[in-house]
Amino acid sequence: MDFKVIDGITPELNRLASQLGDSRAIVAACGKRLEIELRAHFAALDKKPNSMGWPKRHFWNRQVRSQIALSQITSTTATVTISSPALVHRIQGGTIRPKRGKTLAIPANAEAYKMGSPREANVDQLDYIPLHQGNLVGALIRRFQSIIKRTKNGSTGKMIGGDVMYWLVRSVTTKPHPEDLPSDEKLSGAVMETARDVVARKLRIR
Amino acid sequence: MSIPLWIEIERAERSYEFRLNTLSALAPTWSATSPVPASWGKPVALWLIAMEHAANTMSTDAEFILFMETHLARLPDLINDMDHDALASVLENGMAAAVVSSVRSVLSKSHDLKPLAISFDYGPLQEAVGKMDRKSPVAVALTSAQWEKVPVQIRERSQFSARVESARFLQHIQDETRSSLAWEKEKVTPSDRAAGGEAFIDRSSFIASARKVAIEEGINTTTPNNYGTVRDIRSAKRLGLIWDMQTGNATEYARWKTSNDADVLDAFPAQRLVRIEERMVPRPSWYWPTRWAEAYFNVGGIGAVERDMVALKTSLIWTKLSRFGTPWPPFDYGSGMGLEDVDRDEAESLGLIGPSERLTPNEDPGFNAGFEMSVAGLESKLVNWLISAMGDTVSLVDGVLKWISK
Repeated sequence: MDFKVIDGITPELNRLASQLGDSRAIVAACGKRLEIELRAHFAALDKKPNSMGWPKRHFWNRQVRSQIALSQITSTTATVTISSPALVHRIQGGTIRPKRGKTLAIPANAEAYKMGSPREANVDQLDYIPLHQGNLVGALIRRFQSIIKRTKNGSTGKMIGGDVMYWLVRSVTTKPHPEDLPSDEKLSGAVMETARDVVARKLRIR
Repeated sequence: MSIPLWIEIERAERSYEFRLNTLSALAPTWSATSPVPASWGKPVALWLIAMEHAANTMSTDAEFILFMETHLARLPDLINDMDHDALASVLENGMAAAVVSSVRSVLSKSHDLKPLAISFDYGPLQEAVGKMDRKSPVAVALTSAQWEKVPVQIRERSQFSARVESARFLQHIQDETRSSLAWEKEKVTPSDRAAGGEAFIDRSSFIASARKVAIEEGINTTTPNNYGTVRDIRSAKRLGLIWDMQTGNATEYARWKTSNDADVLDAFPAQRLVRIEERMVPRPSWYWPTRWAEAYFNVGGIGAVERDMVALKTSLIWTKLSRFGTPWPPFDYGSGMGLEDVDRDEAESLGLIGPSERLTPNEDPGFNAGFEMSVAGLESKLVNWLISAMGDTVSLVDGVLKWISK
């Protein structure tokens, strides 16, 4: 994915740096501010409830926000790295096909979503039901079990299971979501605010 | 007659090339600071000044390129305005090459364009990958309580897991987490159960593969009544925790490294302990404030605020707060607490730092060559393992373990 320069701030940064005569101090502070802004943006996304109303797995925090760090500072450039292949896919969209299995497992309810993939959950009480309807290959359903309770008045029993836990599909295609990134205006505004603060403070204490 | 000329302009780390197949671009005496020459080259000199002005002032790259294209289209008119006789005489004297060289030199050097650029990219955090590379598997079956007593310098160099003495399993943890941090893809061989291809290693695939290795190695870390819990090395809970701790520690270390840069510290000298993730079963509300108060007391309050859970990044309170002795998160197992940067103005208003004070960055607690420590009090099996596992990177002389390199 492309290297993304925060647009439109270079001339103003140059002007501030020439006032100060120390570009590294400005660049380092601006890079840090960019890291802060990006992390805050994804932290805010993480606070939104799950779209299905299921328990959150904190995708935005664990796979994006926590993977962001200011990674390089020179006298003229600062780079913040987002180490998240999952975000790249989210922004660009595309089709995912299985590699480690023959199908992809899509959680069908909150319990399955919380457990993660069937491989991760290691649940052995699931049965495979073939469906073969286009992209939909089948389903993993909870195995039927009889639960018998003994009471003073005798025994009562009930049957549980049969509910679909995962849908198994050949591929999943997701739309691009460029709107999940913060806007250039927001980022450049914050970065320039920090640049001006640094210059003002440095000039004040001279 | 036509002399090809390339004008290169650097802006925001990008180089723009404009090819001019015309004599009109020759302005031998012009520079950004010198007066515009009142010679045959004046129209072109003015034209070049406008280009330089655009490179320095246009607010967006798109705007800049559009301007340049429009500006280049005006060249034919400029040619008509030139004193061609004067120019021809210059050329006849064999000055063309020198002139071209002069213009190019002026544009590439004399302008002293050093554009500053703030950017973000997508890829591995090299500091996090490097941190994993510096670890060695330490297959000694200590409990987590015993490991906590081991100095942080050793723990930071060691790949370990409580009650696990399988080097293969620990190596697997290290390889998988390192590959994930490095964005390396795993090759999956096609079979009757797998479509095959290249796939990123993620938390889910790690749990499945680590469980397989643990079973193959016959590792059992607990009793049957605790199977499936965090005490069970084959459980999703335990393996997920290992993944979260390993990757979290490495990426937070990478962030800590640049947060400790002297210029970054100057602008953002402090940080605040905040809740990053809610928990289904949270610790009591008094837990972290109490822990903070204890750490505050331990460091004599130096560089910290007692109640607000804010402190200078260089304060020792962070290592005292952490269960693991590192100044970066995670500060405890399964913790939803993390850090938020505090800028200079707020740090000054909290009395943490004076207006002209400059902080000295902290030393890296884990990987300093030359680090020495006494092995008195350490489990002998751990000392023996460290010496054999770390090979020629450590030496043990008179009860003192010394790191030679790495």
